Amino acid sequence: MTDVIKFFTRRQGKKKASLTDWISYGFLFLGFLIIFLPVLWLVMNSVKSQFLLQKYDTNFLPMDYERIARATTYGPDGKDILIMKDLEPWVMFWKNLSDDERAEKDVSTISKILVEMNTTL
Amino acid sequence: MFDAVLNLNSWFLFFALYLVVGFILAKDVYGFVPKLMSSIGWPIEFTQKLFGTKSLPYLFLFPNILIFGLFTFLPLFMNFGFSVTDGTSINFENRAFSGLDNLARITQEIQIDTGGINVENAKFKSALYDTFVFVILQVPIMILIALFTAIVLNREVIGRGFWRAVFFYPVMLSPVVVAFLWTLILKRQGMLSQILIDWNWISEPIQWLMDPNWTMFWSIFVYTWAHMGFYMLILLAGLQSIPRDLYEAAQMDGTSERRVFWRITLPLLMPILLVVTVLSLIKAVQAFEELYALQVGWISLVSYIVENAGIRGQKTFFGLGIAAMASLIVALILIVLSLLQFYLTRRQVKL
Repeated sequence: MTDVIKFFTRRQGKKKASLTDWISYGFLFLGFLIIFLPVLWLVMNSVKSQFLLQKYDTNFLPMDYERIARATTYGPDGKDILIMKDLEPWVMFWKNLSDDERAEKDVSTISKILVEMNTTL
Repeated sequence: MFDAVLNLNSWFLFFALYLVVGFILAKDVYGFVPKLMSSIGWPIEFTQKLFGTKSLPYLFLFPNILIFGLFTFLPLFMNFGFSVTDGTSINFENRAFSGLDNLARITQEIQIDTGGINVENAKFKSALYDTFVFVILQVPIMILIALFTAIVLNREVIGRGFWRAVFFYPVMLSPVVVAFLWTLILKRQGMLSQILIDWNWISEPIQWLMDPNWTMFWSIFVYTWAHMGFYMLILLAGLQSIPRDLYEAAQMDGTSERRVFWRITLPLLMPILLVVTVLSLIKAVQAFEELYALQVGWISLVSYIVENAGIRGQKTFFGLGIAAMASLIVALILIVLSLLQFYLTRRQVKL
């Protein structure tokens, strides 16, 4: 095994990395993590969407979540949380819509899904 | 009229007049070149004759001293004046002389105006104590890290320029930007709490900046983060000023790396290490911007002064006087530290 390691770490002409080299590079890498990464994270934060910022998203890359509607129902069996997939995008932003806009939307699609799930709100 | 003055010909005329005046004044100077020089430079020679050789430098220094005095010494004396008077006004006519009352207001257990327990005293003492703890911990930690970084960056590592830039660039960030970045990480719903909760290390978020157990740690951490690069750069310059031949001689003698460090690097770096220590001591006593913007859970001496001076928020009757007195105490500490630097660097030269 040691021969294998020796084989893969051998270098042409140059000396092998000493313990001081390892400590040096380790320290530099630690410095990179502590000093450079936070600012890089700040830069990445600056291109995140408002939604992500309000959610205090800690991800490094500004990726959006897949948003799914959720409803809490109180029935005879107690509290129940329904996760509703395959909804139109406007359902998520129902609160932001004006009355005219709400009237335009076809609400029957939601009730169809709810019927499929054998529930009523 | 102005057109005539700005006219090139009239400038010639003025210059000729200037030379003639100089020529007349230089009647005692003989030889062509000295006479020409005196004719050109007669205003200075004339002033020298008028004021004498010894006072001439002071005449040249006068404009600078005037501006320096107006913007540096006058505020200094005004501050001293504020510290021995009472009132909210900055106009000395409306301030009553009170002697050392302000000193008593921040140092005595009994409030001299009401006779009750002095709250200001406790606030000032805790500011003094907290700043002392901050300085005592922050300076050695930062210098050790800066020294280690400088030594590592002085080695032949791959991408040395990049690493140097990485360790230096926080110095270029504004203190408010530094504080904003670390607030995002350290606030209650910040990055650090969330990550530690995800890893199941802590069960509920911690307010790292306000929590009494953590506020000093993070103050020191952020302050070191922001300022370490500057001292690292000075130490790096110091390391590179050490003559190479000493290392070569040590290598020829087969000296171990550890011995080289203790016997060559450290002794020759000592003068610079000393300067760095005193500089960072003074800077740490003055610590304010980052800590203020981070809203840490303790008050530093300078924050105490800013809070009392009535620059922001409601003015209090004794506030300005108390702030001025506190600033004199900070000045006293800084003077002692500067004298220490003078003394130590002079001793170094004698060695």
